[in-house]
Amino acid sequence: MSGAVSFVGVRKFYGTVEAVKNVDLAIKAGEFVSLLGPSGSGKSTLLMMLAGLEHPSAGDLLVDGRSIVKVPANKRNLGMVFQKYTLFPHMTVAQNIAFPLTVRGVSVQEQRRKIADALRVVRLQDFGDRLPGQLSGGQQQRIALARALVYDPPVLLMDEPFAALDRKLRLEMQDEIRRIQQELNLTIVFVTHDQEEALRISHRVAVLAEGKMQQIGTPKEIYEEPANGFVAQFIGNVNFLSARLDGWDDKVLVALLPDGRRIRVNPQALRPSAAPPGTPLRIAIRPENLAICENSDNALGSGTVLECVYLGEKTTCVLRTATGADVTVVIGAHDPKPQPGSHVAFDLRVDTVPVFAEAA
Amino acid sequence: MGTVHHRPDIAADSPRDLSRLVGLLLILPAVALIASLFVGPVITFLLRSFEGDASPFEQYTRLFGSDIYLRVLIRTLVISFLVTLTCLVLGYPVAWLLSRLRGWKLALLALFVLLPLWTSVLVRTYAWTVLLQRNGIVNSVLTGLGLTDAPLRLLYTDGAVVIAMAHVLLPFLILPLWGSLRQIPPEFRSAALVLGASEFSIFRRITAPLSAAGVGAGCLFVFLISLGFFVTPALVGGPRSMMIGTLVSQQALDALNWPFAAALSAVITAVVLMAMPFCRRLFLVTRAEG
Repeated sequence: MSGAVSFVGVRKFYGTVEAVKNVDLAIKAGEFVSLLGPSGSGKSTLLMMLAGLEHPSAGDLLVDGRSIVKVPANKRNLGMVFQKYTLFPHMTVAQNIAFPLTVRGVSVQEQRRKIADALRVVRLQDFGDRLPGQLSGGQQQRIALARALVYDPPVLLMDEPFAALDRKLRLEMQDEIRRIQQELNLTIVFVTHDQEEALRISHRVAVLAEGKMQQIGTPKEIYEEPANGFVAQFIGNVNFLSARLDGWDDKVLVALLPDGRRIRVNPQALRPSAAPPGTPLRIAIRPENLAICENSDNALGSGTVLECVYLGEKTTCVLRTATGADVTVVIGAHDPKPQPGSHVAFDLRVDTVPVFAEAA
Repeated sequence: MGTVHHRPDIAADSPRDLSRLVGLLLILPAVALIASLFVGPVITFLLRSFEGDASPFEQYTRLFGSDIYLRVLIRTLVISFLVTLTCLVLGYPVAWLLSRLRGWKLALLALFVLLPLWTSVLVRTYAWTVLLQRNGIVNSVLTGLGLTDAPLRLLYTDGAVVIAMAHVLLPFLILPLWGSLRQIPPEFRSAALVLGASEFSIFRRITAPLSAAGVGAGCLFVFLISLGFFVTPALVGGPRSMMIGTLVSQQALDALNWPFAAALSAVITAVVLMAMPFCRRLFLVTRAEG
């Protein structure tokens, strides 16, 4: 099977600004990988380099082991769906899908068969004669997808393709692209700034910030074992607590909180050799791993309720502790909602904090 | 649309009706000015083409009965066509470049395109006579390089008229074309490239069809203005390449034959009006695609 993609030591300078800093990423054939990061993280630049619309300042790009850096964009034979709708307005849907076939000199008969196939894949069989202006945003992106797939590219590149759609349609399109990916066993490189989208659709997520690769891993790894504070904060919500390293219990780290309480923490990248007792720590705890508790004696901490926000399946409360830090706690749908201004204690729901400690 | 929409009865002082009234009042001065100083005189003048001793169509009989006048009319159409073609060939690359440039480069090129519009047509035409005359710059260069033995006859030819008119009218093609090229999102080019298209395919299948309305509008501008052009053909063309504008002026001012001048004007107006439905179709296409 073809479609393996590698970034090898890729760097990109715009003038003196380094937009992409030495990125390595190996994507297997048939894998769905999201490049996730805030704007300016270099994720789109990486995709544009793969497409041939930007050129790396250093490093190499490989597709199935062959370097494509010197291959012009129109000879790379990759599929791409853009954020902006890029269907050509003067061509019908069928003519748009035929475009990559026409420029490749495919016979009209073959074209007709392939267009019908592509329209079936995106479930818009009867739309061939329409003009793009007569389609909704979601339909236009499906046609753009059909156009990008009709010439059987080994790799499909997607640059925030659903960012302009409303939430419900976006979720639908995410399911759709996952179904198509499995059906055709495509390699997909998907750029997004939406962490929920990345977790939902990808086999692996590559988190980028300021041009640097922060972490590459499965959605579960990214969420539960973030490599650093940036990833922890960017993927979901997180509370940070200050502590000192107390000791090691096998591979689990024991941290000492300022009030004298000890908690067990997943050490992530910290190793006993590098982190002796007494090392200052920053501990990240997900709001869903905290709970409001009755008894404040053995609690992790306490604080004044600032506000509670109802979000349907859950409610989140923000507490301000005595040290002035804000802690977010998730309350179950059936639990009583604390009154703003009241003083409550909070504790861990778990034995070991899954996320995480780093040297402060 | 089969349904009739009944608007609820709105009193005349509703904001919508008020704004319509204000709109009418605002365009009234312009309408009055154009009606009294332009439309009125033009109609009066064109009506004079039916003056004649024998029949009301005497002027037209004379016009269509003579080879000379028909030849001038046909030459006018041919020269206007050639001017339009020259403008298109010279103007398209410039308009394309304008649509791709940004910042100070755009400002500089746009300035060069607009500069001719700020200079008098008369001045520019005299400049061409200086360039093209027997011992002018062009002939000096040609003989100096040894390309010709004797100076060429450049001035007072149809070629001189076409070149000089194209120079004067070039901005009228570039500006609308630039407008329509600028509307093509740059993402179309990126998308087409990734889909495998060569630069030539991108031009032929995307840029050209999407700028067709701009080409049409620009060509129409140039062609219509060319039909009635007077100063340039009169100065660089000379008597043997006379165009209808020169003929009208000659008849009205030298021969003092106003009815015949009016008949010639009526013919050229009719040609322009025949081009109008074509013009409308072009603009409709633009709207459907936009």
